[in-house]
Amino acid sequence: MVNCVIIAASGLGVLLLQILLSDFLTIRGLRPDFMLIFVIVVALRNGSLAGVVTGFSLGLVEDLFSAGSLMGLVPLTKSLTGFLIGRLRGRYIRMNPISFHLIWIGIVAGNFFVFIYVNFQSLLEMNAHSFWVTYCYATLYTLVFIAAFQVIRPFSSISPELPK
Amino acid sequence: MRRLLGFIFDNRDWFSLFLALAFSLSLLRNNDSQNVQIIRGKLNSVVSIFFRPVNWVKGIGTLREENTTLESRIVQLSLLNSQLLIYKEDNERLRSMLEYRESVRLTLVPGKVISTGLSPLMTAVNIQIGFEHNLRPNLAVVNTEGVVGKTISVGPTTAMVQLMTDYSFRLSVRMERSGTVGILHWRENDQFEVWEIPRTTEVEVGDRIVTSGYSDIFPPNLPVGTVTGIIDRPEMLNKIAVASAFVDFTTLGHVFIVKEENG
Repeated sequence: MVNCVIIAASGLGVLLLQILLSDFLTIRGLRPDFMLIFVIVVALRNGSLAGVVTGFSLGLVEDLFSAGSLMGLVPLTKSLTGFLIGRLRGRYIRMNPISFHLIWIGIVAGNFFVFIYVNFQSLLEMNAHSFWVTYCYATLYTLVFIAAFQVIRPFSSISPELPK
Repeated sequence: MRRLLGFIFDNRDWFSLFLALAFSLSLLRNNDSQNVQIIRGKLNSVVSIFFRPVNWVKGIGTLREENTTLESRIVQLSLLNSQLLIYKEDNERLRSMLEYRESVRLTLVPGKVISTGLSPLMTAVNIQIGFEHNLRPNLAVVNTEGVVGKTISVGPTTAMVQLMTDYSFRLSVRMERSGTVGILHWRENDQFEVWEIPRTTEVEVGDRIVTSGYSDIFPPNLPVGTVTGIIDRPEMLNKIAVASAFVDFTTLGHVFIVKEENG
């Protein structure tokens, strides 16, 4: 119960951070997705269930407060990301660290692919180069912030080892 | 029953994922629902409070630069104004000679940009005017530099504006010098492309691009951008003009909604 309250309060804090900072960090019309980083951290720390619930809730809030986006798309991608990242909980020690990092990077890249593809299908047909440039920038921008976060708190220390 | 509940409890993460996906898909399916739009409009009015400090800090940061730009713009406009007054007199005289009756005039409703949303992609903004100012979806939105976008949904006190930078945005435009009409597609940064230009038509770098008027939304002759390059290859049926937009979408502060009034 205490854990749920902590996650909810932290989620509100991240939402405020996204509101206050995202405008100042906009480059080429793209912003870092702090809420996705939070979903990843919660999922790695607490597992798939918490990942899905946090991803869905924050995604819904993001969609309701966002201008122009398709309603339901962000909860879909974030809950799926939360679920998949949650499956990695406790596996850092058992897995090859490179595989572990490649898997979560792949999941984040997949999350952005679905989001950008649904929003910019017409761009892919019209100008595939611009589509892939937009996709790479959007993904890399958030990955840079995840990397910065990892310097402060590595994922290996977030994801506890599961009992055998 | 107990076994079923136990099974659900044991696989609660899968069930929660299933529920989340089902709910998200149903939201996507009902995306155009009026109720969803009303809820979003009301929530955006509430959340705009949180964006106020951001807008305030941004406003202070750009104030000096904006002031300098506006001062030079005032000088330019006053020079232009004196020239236009002469043209106006000429125009009125010629119109009265032709017994031209002005049937359509434009009204501009000013609106302040209150939020750019939380999405990682900036393709739309919210403005602080809505139904109360007789707005409706599909109205042209401009600022002092040129075309910004169009309204896509309108709440009681806020409206959502689809920016020209959205890749799904299309606009019928005209080369001011040659009169050639084409379709605007956004490219990247401040660049857009004008498609469907016949290869026989002459288009030059530096040509001004304005709205064509072949639209129920955008009136003619609103400034859009300037041609910066031309793509013309032998295998292409039509030419493509590459252009840069007049509007700086990164510093949108105030916009105007264009409303037509039949006089």
